[in-house]
Amino acid sequence: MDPVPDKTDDPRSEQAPARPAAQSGPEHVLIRRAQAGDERAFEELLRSYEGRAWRVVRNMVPCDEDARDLVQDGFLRVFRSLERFDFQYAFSTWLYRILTNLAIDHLRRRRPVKSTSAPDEEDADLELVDHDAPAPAAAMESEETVAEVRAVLATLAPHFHSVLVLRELEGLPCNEIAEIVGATHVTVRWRLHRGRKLFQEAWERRGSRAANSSHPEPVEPPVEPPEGRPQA
Amino acid sequence: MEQPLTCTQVRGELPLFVGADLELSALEALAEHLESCGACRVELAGLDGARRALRSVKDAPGPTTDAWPALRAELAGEGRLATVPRTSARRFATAAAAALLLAVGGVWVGSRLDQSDFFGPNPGGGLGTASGPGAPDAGARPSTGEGTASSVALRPVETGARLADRAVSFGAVSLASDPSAEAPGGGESIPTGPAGTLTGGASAASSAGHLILPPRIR
Repeated sequence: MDPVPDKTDDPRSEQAPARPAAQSGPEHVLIRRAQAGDERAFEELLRSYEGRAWRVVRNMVPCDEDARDLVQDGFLRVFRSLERFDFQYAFSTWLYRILTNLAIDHLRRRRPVKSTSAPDEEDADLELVDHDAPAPAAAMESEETVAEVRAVLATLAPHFHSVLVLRELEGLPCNEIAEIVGATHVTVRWRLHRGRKLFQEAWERRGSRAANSSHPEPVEPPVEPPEGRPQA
Repeated sequence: MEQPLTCTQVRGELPLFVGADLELSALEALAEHLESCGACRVELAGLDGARRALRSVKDAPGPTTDAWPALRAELAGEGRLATVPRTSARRFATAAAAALLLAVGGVWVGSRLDQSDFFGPNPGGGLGTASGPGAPDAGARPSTGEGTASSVALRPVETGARLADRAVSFGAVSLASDPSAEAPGGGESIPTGPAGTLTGGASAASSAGHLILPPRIR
């Protein structure tokens, strides 16, 4: 039995105007085959996108295990709703949207949220600092750098975090990110602007803490203005 | 003439400038300011360094486990994967082709064996020139009521027929043992081959014999 349709699973629920799908031809054939229950088509779709799906989710959640579960859950939702896929949208946008929403929900469930705005405000501005995280070494190995970057990213509010991941790590344009996160283009640019600045501040703070690790001082998260005042 | 940008204006745009996320005209205006403003360049360097660190995550290793087996199990459990069974017609065609191949092979092998048995000492002799005294088991075979020469001549055909019978029986058995190979109506009817209608099981075997053997052998 089909699950109750989830708004986030349905590409027709996008607020963005219709546009020609970025992919067509072979991918549409693949989707149609999967809609008919072709097992190999499902597998090919998974293989085409699992690397990107993994990267997006893994850079948003703190551990491999969570990422694996979320990626699997994301693909399962996509495949369950595939019969409702609207071919005027890009499959990747739909998949990214589901994965991003799953990751954001996961982050919000997983940790307490510190909000400076009204609790019902959807995009409340958040900043979480992990005071127990290890300080960066002077010369970090690549793996350590990755862990450090992820730790700093995790201190950002999910809506900044997701936009940074999609723009900086996936290289998606702001208009596609807007479709994925269900926000306007202006809001995405605002989140990108603030997200880069917040990441820089958190990154440099960690560097300073490492330098002064013999005299650690508690770092208070900066009070951020609530979102909703994007600069045009 | 446009007013030159102030440092405050430029620094407000640097987080987008660093990723080239501004209009071309704005990028050019900021670049022009940065050429002559060391303090703003320092600001830009800080943003760029943090951004480089962030983007280093791009090269992080990918997933270490294969998601497909678990996904496949879920999809199969929900009945979302179409099963593509081999149709009974397809199975029958395979069995019939195998039977035909074995039958033809049997005829050929039989003829070669008989040549060496009966005409080995007399290589010049052919099937049609065989004579009675040379046939070692001519008397052991059931009489067909015909002459010795014709019995010998037909023997290879009979050998092939036995092989064909076995092959077809094998095909029929494999069909009978496969429930998905039954006719759509649940009956025993099996799609026809080019040589006539087969009716499954033993009758399929005997009918297949008709396809190969001359009537007098039976």
